Amino acid sequence: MPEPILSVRNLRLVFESMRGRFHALNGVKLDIAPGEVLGVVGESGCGKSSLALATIGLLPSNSRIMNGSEILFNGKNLLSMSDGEMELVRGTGISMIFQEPLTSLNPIFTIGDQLTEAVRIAAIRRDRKLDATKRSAKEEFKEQGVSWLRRVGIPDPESALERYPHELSGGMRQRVMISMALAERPALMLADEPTSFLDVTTQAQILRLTASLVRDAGASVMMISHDLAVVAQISDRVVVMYAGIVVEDAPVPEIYEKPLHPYTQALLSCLPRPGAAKRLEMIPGAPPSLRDKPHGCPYAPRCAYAKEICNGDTPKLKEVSPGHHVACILY
Amino acid sequence: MCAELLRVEELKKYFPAKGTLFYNESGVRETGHIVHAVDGVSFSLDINSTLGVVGESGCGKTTLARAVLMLTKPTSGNVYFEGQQLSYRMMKQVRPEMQIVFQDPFSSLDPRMRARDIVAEPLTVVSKQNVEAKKRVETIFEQVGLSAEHLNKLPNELSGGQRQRLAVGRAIVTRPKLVVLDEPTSALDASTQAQILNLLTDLQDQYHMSYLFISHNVNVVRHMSNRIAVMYMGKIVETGTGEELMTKPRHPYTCTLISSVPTLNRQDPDKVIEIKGETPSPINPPPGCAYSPRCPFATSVCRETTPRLEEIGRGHYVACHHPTNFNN
Repeated sequence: MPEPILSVRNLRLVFESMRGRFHALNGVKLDIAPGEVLGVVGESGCGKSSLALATIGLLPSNSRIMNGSEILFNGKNLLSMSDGEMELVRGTGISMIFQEPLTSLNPIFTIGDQLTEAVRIAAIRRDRKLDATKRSAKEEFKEQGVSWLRRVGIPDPESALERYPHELSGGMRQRVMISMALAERPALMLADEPTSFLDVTTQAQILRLTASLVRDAGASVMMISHDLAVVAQISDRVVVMYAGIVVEDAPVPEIYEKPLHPYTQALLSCLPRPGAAKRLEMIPGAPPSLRDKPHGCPYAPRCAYAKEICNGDTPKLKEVSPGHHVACILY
Repeated sequence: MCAELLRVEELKKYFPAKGTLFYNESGVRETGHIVHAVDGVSFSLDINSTLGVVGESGCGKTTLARAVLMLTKPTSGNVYFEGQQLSYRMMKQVRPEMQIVFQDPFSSLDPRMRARDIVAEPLTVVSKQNVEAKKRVETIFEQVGLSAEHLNKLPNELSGGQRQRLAVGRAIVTRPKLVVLDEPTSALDASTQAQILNLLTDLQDQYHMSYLFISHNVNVVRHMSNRIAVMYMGKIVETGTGEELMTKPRHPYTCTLISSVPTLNRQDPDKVIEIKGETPSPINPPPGCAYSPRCPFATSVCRETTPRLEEIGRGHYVACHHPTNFNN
């Protein structure tokens, strides 16, 4: 495997609040290779969004990353960077698309204002001497904005630049977000549930578009979703998270065909799909509360195969076949 | 043939879009801007069966649910429940027989009411015998998978799945014959969704209720329903038995919708029929088939005449001038 572009090691994160301490991430380990699309799946509260926000340095101020955590981007630890250094990584190094494009686009600026801002910053970073206030430069930025909107399939891009976010449909807004995220030519794009708010026909459009744009740009992607079927469409590899840890990490389609961790197996079998029995498989109980200090395997209380030993140390990810890692005492 | 519980005929619900404050006698503001949310929907639902309604956001599925239950007054059309035509005025008597579970259990439960009071409230309409009501509430808690310790909790002390169980409990406490389920699992995680779907299946087996199951999720609707109706722009474009519709869709929109549903094995991108363009505005829709601007098979007749639902196979109805033959 080539040198990973992103490698997360033992990432532990807590949120401090009036109601006490919440353990969001409890030792996450994962790698993304250059040009790879990594799917991250898990249920709400498993820490998948916190992972993305920690990576791009946008965590809220009440969060605390514990000692010993590492997020290496091209070999450099993002967690020890200053704000100024991190600012340079954002956009040109790592960019992000959020779940709900209506709240992540600024409602009082036009699409053009927001998109050309990304284009302009990228241009200034490439050429420090560039005078971005010159008319010729401004026209150049606008042209690039138009070409980006055309590339993401927005009809009549010239007039779309003049519109405000509320004038576009959800699918169109998400296309704008994708064009903004890619405009600075990032090496890694984080996509946090990019299609969860969209209709299924629009989702199919956006997934296909993302896959082709990312392939053209040669960027790596961390695709976060609660939907196993969505990540199956574009990911090379999938990581399954549960209660703040990675429980399984395997290539596609192996993870769907031969899931090893009891949680992954249960998650796959509880989905309604053609040919499923009238009574669906269920996972009993609920995920552990984030307020409890993690100990042992977090899935043990719901697991059909749990033994005494599961309450001991939290199992580490083990490679059981080439590229297939699982954190379970059964293997 | 099973007995019919609910029949809906040419149900319409229009909303004024913008404009003046004045209403004409049919309750529509005279602005010329009218949203055709539900635009002539007819269907029937048998006792102890489930009709799934599937469609994308804005197609009118929630408005349909509300209009069937008279939670919003239909603009025109008739709803027959056990052969009796429903009117706004008689709903107080009929309401215990027809209940609803809403999508979001975080906003459909009163945050200041205890769990037991939430479930007991519908009973105050039916009878006032408190001892019996208390017993009934405790039985319901058991049936929906909540324990006695939850009786005095407030909604915010419960998880999403538990709240939805509570909402189901509130709906079935009056022993209704019809329950409308409006996206009952859309706000839930996959593992919780399975729990709620199984609960609904069990309750139906036990009490022989009929469900009108509304969802945007094709797989969930397919799992739960005997018959499925596909809605687009306020109209049913295709209806049939679950298997027939899913394996042999005939309306071009149904074909696109089904092929867009992601599956666990990566789909061949060429098999996914990509939809063209955007959903048109439901304000003053153009004449003809509402899907014609996006349909690859549209001809001039599609843009002029609105197709009617016609039977093309046993119990399989399609509203299309050129139903496709899906043979693969």
